[in-house]
Amino acid sequence: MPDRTLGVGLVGYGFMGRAHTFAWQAADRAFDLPLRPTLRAIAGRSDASLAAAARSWGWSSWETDWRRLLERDDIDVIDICAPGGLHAEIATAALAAGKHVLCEKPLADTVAEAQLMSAAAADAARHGVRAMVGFNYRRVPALAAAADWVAKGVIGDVRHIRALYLQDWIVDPEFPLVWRLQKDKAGSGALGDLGAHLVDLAQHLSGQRIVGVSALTETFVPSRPIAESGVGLSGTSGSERGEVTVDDAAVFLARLDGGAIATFEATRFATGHKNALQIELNGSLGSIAFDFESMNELLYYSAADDPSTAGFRRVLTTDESHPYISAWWPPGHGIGYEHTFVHQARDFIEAIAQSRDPRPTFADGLQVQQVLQAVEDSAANESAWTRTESIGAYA
Amino acid sequence: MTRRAVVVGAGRPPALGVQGFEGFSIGYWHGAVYQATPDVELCAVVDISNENASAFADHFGSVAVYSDLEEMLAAERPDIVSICTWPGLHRDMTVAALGAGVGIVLCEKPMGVSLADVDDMLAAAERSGGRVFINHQRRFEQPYDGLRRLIEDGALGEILRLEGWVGKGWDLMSWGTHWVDMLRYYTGDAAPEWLLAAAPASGNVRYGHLVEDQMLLQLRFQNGPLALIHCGSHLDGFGITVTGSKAVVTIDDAGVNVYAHSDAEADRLRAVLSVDATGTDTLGQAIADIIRATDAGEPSRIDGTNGHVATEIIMAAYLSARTARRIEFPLTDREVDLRPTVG
Repeated sequence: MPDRTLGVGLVGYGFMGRAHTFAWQAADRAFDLPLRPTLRAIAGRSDASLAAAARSWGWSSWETDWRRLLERDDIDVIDICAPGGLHAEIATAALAAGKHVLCEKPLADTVAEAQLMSAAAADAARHGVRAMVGFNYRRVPALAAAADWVAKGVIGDVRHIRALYLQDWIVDPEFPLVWRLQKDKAGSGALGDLGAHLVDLAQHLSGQRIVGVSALTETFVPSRPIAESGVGLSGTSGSERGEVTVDDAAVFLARLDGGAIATFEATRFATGHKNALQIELNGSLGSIAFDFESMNELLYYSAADDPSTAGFRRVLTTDESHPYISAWWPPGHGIGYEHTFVHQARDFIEAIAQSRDPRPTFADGLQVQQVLQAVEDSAANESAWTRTESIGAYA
Repeated sequence: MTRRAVVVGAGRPPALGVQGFEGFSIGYWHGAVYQATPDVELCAVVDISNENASAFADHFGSVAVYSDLEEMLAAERPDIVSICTWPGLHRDMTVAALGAGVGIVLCEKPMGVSLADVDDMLAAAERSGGRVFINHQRRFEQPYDGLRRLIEDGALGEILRLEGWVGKGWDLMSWGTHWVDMLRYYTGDAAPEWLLAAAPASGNVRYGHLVEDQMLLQLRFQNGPLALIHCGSHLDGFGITVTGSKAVVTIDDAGVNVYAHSDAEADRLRAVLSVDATGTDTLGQAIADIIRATDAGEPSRIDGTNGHVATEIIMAAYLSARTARRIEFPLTDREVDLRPTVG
C-alpha cells in the first residue's frame, strides 16, 4: 500500500475528463503505485452539471475557477482536459504554482503557446515539477510493443510509414458546430485532433523525426447549425448556422530524419470508420501493422521467413510479456480504449515518484505542434514543401 | 509663463497614412495638443526630411523648421520637447534634449530598444534635473481609466487575471507596450516578479527595430495576479480582460462587456465605464498632467520610471523567448538590443 497520496485536480469534464477520471481511479487498482492518486476536485464553468459530474464520478469537490485548484495544498497534479486554447494558460500557471501537469493533446493551439508551455515545463523540471502531454495511444500495449520491436531492430531500417486516422462523426452537414469545429477553441480540426496522434505515433514508433511536409487540408462542410449543447463527439443543434473554421480532413506527405518517408491521412469524413487509427511500418527486415479497431493485436511480417509459409502473422498482444498486460487479464481476454489512459496515469505517477521527466514531454508536444503548423503552412501555400525546423524559430 | 514646445519627428502628413493603423506621424497629435494647451506655444519642428518638416509647419503655421536636433535646441531653448521618432533614436534625442536644459521631455512609446538605452534616459534626467515622460497615454483614456478606478475601489473583487491582446500583425514593442503598461497600471504599478514568453520570429523589422511574428507572454506581478499578453497576425482587433472574483470586464474594439454576479451590479459597472469621452483628448490630458506634475514636483502616471519598467518587461520577454527560460525580475541582463545587426 502506498503511504503517500497524489491529489489530482481535473480541469474540464467532457469526453477526456471522463476518460481521465476512470484512469486515476483504475490505475491504483491495477498497478502497484508508489503514490496513490486521489480525486480531490474538478473545475469547470459555473454549471450544475459540474457538481453532478463531481458526484457521479467520485470527485470530492468542485471549483468553478481552475485557479482555485492551484491555491489548494491538497492538490499535487493538474490534469488538463479543457479545449486546446486554454492549455497554455492553465499549464503554465499550474507549473508556476508547483503542480505537476498532465495535459491532453494537442499540447496547444499554436506553436507559440506550445513554446511557452515547453519553456515552463523545463523551468519546472529544475524544481522537481513534472509535465507530460497525453498522447495516450503510445500506451496501447500493441503499439508499445511495436515501438520496442522497432527499437530492437526487429523490422530493420524503417522506410515507409503509412498512418491513417479515420472518423465519420461529422459527415452529416446538420451535425452542430461544437467547439472542436472552431479554430479559436480547438486550434485546428482533424489535423490537431487526429493528425497529432498520427504524427506522435509515427515518430515514436520509428524513432525518427519529421523534417518536412507537403499537405492538403479541406473543409467539406463550411457552415453548421450552432450547437445548443455538446459533449465529446456528439451535440444537439439550434436553428442558426455558423462558420466551420477548422479543417475537416488533412492529408500529407512527410520525410523523416532517419531516411523514412511517410503518408498521413486524418479525417472526420471517412464514412463508415468510427475510430480507425491505422499505422503500418515497412522496414528492411519486416513490417508491422496496427488498427485500433483491433487494438489487441499487431500484424507482423518477417522477411526472414521461409517464402513458402511467409505472410503477415496476427500477434495477439495480450501476453503478460507484452507491455502493461501483466496488470490485467489472462492471455486473449483483451483490454480497451480506457486502459490507454490508465497506463498513461501509471507512467506519469511512476515518473513523478522517480523524479524523472515522463514521456512524451512538453518538448515532444511542441515538436508535434511544429509539424502540425508546417502542415497548415504547406496546405495554405499550394502544398509547397515545408521544412519543420524553421517553424516557430526565434530569429 | 508661456512654455515653448517643439515636436521632433514630423513624419509623413496624416493624410498620407492609413488612418488608425500606421504610416502617419504621431507628431501631428502632439503638435495639435501643444497649440490647444493654454500657456504653451508650438514653436518648432525637427525632421531629417525637409519635405515632412515643411508640411508640418504649413499645417500648424508659424512654426520654425529644423533638420538638426542640436541646432534646434541651441537656437530655440525650448521648455518642452516631444520625441516622436523611431524607438532606436529615443535615447540619444532624449539625452540631448535633457542635456540642453529642456525641462520636460515627452518621449513616444516604446521608450527604447534596449534596457541600456532607457537606463541612460533616466540617468540623463537625474543629471539635468529635467523630467522624462513616456507617452503611454492610454492611462488617461476612457473607459480604460474608469476600469482602473473600479479595480482600485474593489468593485471587481480580488483580481485573478489580467489579459491584453492585439492582433492584425502588431508586435509587443509597437502596440503591445500599451498593454504591458496598462496591465501594470491596473495592479497599482506593481513590480513584475517573473515572466515567461514565446515569440516565433522570422527577423522582421518595423520602425527600425526587430519584431516578432507572434508574442505570447505570461507575467506575474509581485503580490498580484498572473497577466497574459498576446500579439500577432493570428488575432483580430485589440482588447483587455480583467477577471475579478466579483466581476469580469472586457474592453475591446467592439465596446465594453461586463459580467457580474447580479444584473444590477453589472449595470452599475457598465454605467461607470460608459462615460462619454467624446471631445476629450487623451493626449491633451496626458500633457496637462505632465506639466502639472513638473510644476508641482509630483509624480505623473506616465513618468519615465513607468516606461522603464515597461521596457524591462518587454526586453525580458524577448530574452525569455530567445532562451526558452523563465526570467526573474529585476532584469539584470542588459544584452537584449533590438537594433538589427548590420550585415
